Amino acid sequence: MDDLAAILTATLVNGCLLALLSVGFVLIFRATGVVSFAQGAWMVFGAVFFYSFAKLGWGLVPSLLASAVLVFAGSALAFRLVFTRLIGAPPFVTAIATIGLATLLQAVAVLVWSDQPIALPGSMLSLNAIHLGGAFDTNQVQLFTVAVAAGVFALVIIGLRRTPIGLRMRMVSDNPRLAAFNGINVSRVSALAWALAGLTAALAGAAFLLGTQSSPSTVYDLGLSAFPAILLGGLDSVVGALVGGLVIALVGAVTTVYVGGQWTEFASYLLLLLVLLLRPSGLFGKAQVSRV
Amino acid sequence: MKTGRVARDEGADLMVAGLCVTYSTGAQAVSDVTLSVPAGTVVAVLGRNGAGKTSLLRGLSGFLPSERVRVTGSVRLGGRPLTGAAPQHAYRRGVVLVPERDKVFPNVSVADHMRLVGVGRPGDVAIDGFDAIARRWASPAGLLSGGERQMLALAMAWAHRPRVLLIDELSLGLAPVIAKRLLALVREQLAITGGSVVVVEQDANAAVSVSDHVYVMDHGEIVWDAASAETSAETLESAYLGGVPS
Amino acid sequence: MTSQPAAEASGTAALAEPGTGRPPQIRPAPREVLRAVGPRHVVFGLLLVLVADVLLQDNPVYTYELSIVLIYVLAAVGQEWLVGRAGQVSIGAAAFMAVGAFTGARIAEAGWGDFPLPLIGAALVGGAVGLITGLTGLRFRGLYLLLATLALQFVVSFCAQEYEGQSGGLAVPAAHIGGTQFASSRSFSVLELIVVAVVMALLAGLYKRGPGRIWRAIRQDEMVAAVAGINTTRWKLAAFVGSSAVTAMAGALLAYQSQLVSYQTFSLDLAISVLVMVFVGGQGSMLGAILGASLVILLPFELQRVGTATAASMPNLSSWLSINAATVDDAVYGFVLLLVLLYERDGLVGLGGRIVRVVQARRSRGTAGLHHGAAGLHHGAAGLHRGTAGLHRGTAKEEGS
Repeated sequence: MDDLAAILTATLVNGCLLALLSVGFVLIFRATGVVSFAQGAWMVFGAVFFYSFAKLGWGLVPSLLASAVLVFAGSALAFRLVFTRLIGAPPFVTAIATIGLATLLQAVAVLVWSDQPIALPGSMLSLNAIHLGGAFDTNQVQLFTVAVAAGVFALVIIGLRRTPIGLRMRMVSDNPRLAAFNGINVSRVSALAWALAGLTAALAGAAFLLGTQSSPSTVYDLGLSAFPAILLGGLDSVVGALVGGLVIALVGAVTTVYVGGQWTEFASYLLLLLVLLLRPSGLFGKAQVSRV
Repeated sequence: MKTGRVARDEGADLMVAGLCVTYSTGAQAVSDVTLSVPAGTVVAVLGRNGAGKTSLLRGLSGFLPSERVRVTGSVRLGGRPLTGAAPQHAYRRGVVLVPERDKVFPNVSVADHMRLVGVGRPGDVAIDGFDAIARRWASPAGLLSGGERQMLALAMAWAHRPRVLLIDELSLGLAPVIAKRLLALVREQLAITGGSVVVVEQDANAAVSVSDHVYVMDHGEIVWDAASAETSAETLESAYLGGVPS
Repeated sequence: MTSQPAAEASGTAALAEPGTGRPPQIRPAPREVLRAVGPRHVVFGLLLVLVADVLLQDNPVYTYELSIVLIYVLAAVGQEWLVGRAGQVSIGAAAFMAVGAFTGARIAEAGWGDFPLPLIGAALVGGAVGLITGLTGLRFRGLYLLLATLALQFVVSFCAQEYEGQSGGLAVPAAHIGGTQFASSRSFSVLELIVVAVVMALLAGLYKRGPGRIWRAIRQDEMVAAVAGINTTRWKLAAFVGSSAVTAMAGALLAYQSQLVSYQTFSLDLAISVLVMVFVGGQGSMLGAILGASLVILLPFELQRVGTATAASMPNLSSWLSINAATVDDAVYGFVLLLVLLYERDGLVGLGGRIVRVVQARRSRGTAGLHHGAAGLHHGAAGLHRGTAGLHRGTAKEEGS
């Protein structure tokens, strides 16, 4: 595969992973106003649960679903236990709380599963090259990742626009008090947003593990690297999460090919600072960035 | 939305006794308020800024736990207690608040607003004058004018067929002509959907003209409690200026 | 807090000497000074005694731990300036410590100056980095500073890694002032103590005056402060630059203490643990920074001691603990941070304050009845003087109080 094909493939696949993480963040931010640093932690749990179920002999889809459901429930539980009690607290308190939660979760994952690279048993999905034509090669894992991300985004976008629960979520994001005045159970809607965020992160974690033998720390770091994507897309935009993910993945791919792999992280975060400097609301963000 | 007159529904009698609303700062916005809103009537609650009118309505329709407000006393709807209920619970019991500011969701379309309350098509909204809104069906509510937003908020409330409709400062920011028209509409709809209405208003005269009973609040307390017919302009003036109305 | 009103009541106010036109001098009576000593001062005193004890003992393990604690006390004090006073939150502690460590190491190694100079150099560079970062993140309300410092963490870590190259770390010579070397752990701890004390004294002065009040106003409600005419961006930036400088100094101290500087030390984990120090100790209080730093630094050492102590009785647990010490620490920090944010947002200092208030309430309840009765008597007597109407007023006051 030549450079261009490699870049495009990496952009698409990594972009999907980042987009999955980012859309979860956006759901949480829109519904509850919390800037969550915990997506990386949920991603780790998605990966390690997936691994454990796979080791038990469950197939690809059952393992994926089971780990996704567990993290879905875990995130909702975390919201209920911790963040319902922090409603009304200043924003930096909730952000620090997510950092505390993430630190705790990550540590638990490492204690239980150890920080060694995790190898999935057998061959769930093959990494053998599938020739797509021209200079493009891919493999089952990459196709799977893109399919999962596409599915999630389709569900989220359609769900928000067309379903009753999506409508309620949009209203809660706009104005939680008014939503309550109109009979919406704000806390249930918020818990759902958190649960979905955990789910998308878990799917990203499992998909990542399918393609790369990685340790919990590596997975966690990838989770954090979604922030440049989130900020670029706009903290409160679902479409922005997708575009931001793809752009940051593109920057990463280009950097890897032309400069060197160790520079990618640096490049993404430099881009984050640039976004802050030039356009803090991101490409699609609607949230008012108020100057003081 | 159904039309046709509705029989008087005793389940809609709202009785309030000794209501106190205290904020987390310690400020007591409503002190020992007793009033009743019989089904089928329009009740006006008047008073200056800061008299506690909005807090009274919020005390009836419910506060969110994060607002950390203490509500004591007794609120009974159709005989069953409602004191301190959460907003979504009060809504289910039929107590609906149309707030003073932020009455609609700016980034949600008109269509979606009505979809929330089960109205699928603009033609289904049989309210006189709603067609102006119907023409903006796909537009985000943030682009509507003040009067249109008020109309949308009212339409949402009526679609739910509330037992007690609480309207906070309907006339605020609206041209007097439009406000009068909307208030008259409120009176008309009462006959159609049943229930009762509490209007909190700064425009005392407009409110009194559509209501059956008048309460005036000052410093969190009721200082005037009489039928509208017995409430003269002079009485209102003296109540607003702080003297004890005669 | 302490009984200021009582002090005022019993204090001797010397009036202006007649004819001199000097303003009245209020010289506190000795009893007043004693009353002004609050629980905080007691704790400070105890800590000083503890530090002196460790230094005098010269137990290498304790001295080593003390030298580390002092470094992080400085870092936590620096971060607390930003978080506790100005109400801004940043995850940049590790990045600034790295900047300070590398700068200090470079200056010391190049022999450009005796002891405090590398520290000052580190502070200047740290402040400059803070200025640039702050300009990106502080212009807006909300958590943009947090995101900016997150980015900074990775940028600095990478730059440090590149700068370090293959060397495996920068070597740092021992601190020296003139010809005197401060190579031993004990002597360096004394230097550290002096630095910490000086910085804290300077900051205390700052906090007590105008700047402290401005930061407090910003922390309470930034919008209100802005409306009141405070240039909040400039003051937030000032706090950020200052805190970056102090944190960088702590990094330089770390460079001296470990005599080796490597980028791996300054990880995101480190930044999080400094945040934990600030919150667990108690944001808004330098005492909190001291307590938080002590706790967070000493925990791993204590865990190690538990590990070796149980080595014989519970070998599995002991070996598990020693292998997973760092991770167990992380789990504890995350958990405690959540507890603090949920239940006692002012951390240990807040908790201590609550205990002190409960104790004080219990103590004054005994005398409260007496005061109440005396007040009533007083009012009644005043009423008698003013006739029947006064009597009524007197009794009304009794009932009122």
